[in-house]
Amino acid sequence: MKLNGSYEHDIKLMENLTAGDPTVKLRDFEGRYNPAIRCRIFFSDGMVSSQLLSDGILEPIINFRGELPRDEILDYMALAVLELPEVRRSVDSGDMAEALNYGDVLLFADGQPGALIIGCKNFTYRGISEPEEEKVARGPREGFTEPIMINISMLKRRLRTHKLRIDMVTVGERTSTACGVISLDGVTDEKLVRQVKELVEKIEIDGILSSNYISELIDPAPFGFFRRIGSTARPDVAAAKLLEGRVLIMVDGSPQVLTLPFVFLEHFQSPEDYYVTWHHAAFSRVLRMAAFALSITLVPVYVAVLNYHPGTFPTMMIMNIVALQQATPFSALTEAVLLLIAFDLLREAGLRTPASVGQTLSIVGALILGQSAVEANIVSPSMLIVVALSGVTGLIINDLRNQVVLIRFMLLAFGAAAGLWGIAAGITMVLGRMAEIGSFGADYLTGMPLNAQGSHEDSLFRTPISRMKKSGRFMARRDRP
Amino acid sequence: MKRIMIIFVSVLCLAALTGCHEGDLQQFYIVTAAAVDVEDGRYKLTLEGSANRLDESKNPQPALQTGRGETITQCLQDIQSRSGELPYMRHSILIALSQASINEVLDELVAYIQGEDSIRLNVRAVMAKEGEAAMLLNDSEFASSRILKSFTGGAKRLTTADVQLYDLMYCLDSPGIDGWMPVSGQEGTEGIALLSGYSYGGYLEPRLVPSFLMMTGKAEGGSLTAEVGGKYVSFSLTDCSRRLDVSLVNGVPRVSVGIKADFRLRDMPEHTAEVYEAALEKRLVSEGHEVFERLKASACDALGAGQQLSRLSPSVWEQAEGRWHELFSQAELELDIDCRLESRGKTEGME
Repeated sequence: MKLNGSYEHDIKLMENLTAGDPTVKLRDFEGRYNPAIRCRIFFSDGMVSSQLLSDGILEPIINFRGELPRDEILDYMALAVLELPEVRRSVDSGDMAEALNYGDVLLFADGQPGALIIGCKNFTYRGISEPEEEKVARGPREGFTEPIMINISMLKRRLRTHKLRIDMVTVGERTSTACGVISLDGVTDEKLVRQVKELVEKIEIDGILSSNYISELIDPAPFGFFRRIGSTARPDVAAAKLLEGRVLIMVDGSPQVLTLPFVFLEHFQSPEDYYVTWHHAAFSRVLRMAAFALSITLVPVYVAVLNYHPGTFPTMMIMNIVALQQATPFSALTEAVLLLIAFDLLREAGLRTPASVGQTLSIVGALILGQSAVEANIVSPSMLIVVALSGVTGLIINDLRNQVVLIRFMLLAFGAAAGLWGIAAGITMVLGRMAEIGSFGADYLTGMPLNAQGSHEDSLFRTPISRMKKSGRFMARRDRP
Repeated sequence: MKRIMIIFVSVLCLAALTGCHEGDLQQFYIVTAAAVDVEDGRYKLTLEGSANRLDESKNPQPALQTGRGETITQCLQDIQSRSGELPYMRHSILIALSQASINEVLDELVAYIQGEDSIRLNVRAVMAKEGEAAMLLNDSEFASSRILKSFTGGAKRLTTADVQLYDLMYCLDSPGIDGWMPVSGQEGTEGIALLSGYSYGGYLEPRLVPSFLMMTGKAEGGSLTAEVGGKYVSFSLTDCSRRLDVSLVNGVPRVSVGIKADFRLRDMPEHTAEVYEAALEKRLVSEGHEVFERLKASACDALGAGQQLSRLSPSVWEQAEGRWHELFSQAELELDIDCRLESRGKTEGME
């Protein structure tokens, strides 16, 4: 809604707009030496710096000694009176309300329609700390925080180039959340940047409360099993992704920055890989892949082999297993399902409980429950070992834990129904699907063996940094020399 | 629709491909050895397997189960109906046969094994020295393990043969070669049983086993003694190769066996190498002829002379094949043994 120019009308309209918000404060004041200057400011309590408000707005106007052109009073104040850097004029009440809610001060003055929106923010936010899920032993300890501007500043410190491009888009009918589509000119594919920006701009939703909203809304296959959009809470990782030719989406209020395209191999990359020697990084990455493979196949293969191919076990081992299995009331499949569910319940409980309780929970869950279940002949120890090993290896790739749980259950069903043939069929289906899908122009299996897309310097293994000197090596600018 | 069809066909294929789920693991009776006897013209199958309970040191305990029937399948069904457990044969390591069962049902047994994929072909075959084969398995420990160790170890010491099921079945199925298997008693391995076709042919005592193994080309290593200067001296066999040549002269097979064997002296040398070599050759020639006579008497062509003839002279073999066992009983042996002593330690003229 546009303001019509009458001072009384405009401030009345603003009062009505903010009537339901008791945190919005207002103050009328006049010039000490020039009583013709009549002003009113609106601001949100707790979001504005009193010091800036007093020194930058009230004091210069009240003590202004000169004459002010009445018809251009706001423009003149912005130009020559106010001592704050961020000032702009607006006549749109919606724009003003948004600014007010974001910690800006609205200054109305008798004589010129509209108001000045003055940047005077001073709200508290979480300090910069290391992200819990992306901790490294060596390397920077910084993590993104909630305000987008702070996050952008962290990124800018790492990429001191004028080619860093930030396209701001406001999303959310009611939240008006600021989102930044960030790319690196000359490295990121222009078409990709345009595509992502258009997708974000086209979002129609009442509110955006975290970056995951954007992730799901622009995901080309929202019902898909695999994630096609990555996320990170580390500025060093975000900068590296930009250098690789990816696009970032930052969302105000969310420490998670989205990165796209996202390929399967990224699940196995860790920030730590680039802060240790390449031998160690390559070994760790292979270990993570092996852990993933073990995690999804160990229980299904064990159940399949027990049910369909017990001849493959060494004789003494199968005798032990059968003897122990006979002491329990459940079949191998039932035991596996029950234990997997119990493990996932314990894991969820561990995630949702405070750290002090978590340790007790793990002792009760892992030691007491497990041991008691075996002693009471409810489950066989061999199955407990297999499930525990599978569960622990599944936790190594934190990023993939949801997929691991689902794939594991799917393979377990296939293995229980058709033995190793079933598991082979299940794995073929999963791999087939992964080969079929893509993420914003990149194959999902980019960087994997037999995939021609992308480079292989930082794929299954990390090669020395000397081989990865050029930015954009991973994707996007494939015509790059 | 296409996707549904693909899923449907995949599920159908999987179900059809699988087909090996034999029952719940909790019902399995893991069989480690089987003894086949014949009782009143019917099979008596004794299985040694896990009792499905662990002892105090968490080791599985053995349990014997016996079934009777007209066929092996009926015996297994008998065991299953009585115990409620499903015999699982894939972990079997030993099949024990009595002399009577070899004579009466070996052909049926081989046919059963050939049609059954649940028995591994590297299972060892053994004949019970006397009485029922089931007696071999009657032990508080896993007898199969003990017996297996005795003749796999024995084969390396030249004291007995280690015959796997596929070796035996090859000999039984192939023309011009006969099978044999180790003989086991309560005390351990005791010589070799010679087969003539699908029947028991005769027995070879332990004394002749080293020569037999060297003549059949199955000697891998082990120790051998020979009398040198009134004392028995021990040698280690380090390498042995056999050459076999067969011809039919005036309707009589002439079997020429050449053996080249390398030995190492185990004791301090007291004589020249030639003395030791001559002593070894003397023993092997003497025993070799004795073995051959025993093979002839048993109508057991364990050397594979007939098979060699079929390879060297197919037309001659065509005429001899039908009455090979009869011809082999009249065969003449030409034995050429060349023993060589390694690391002799003394040279000529030192005595």
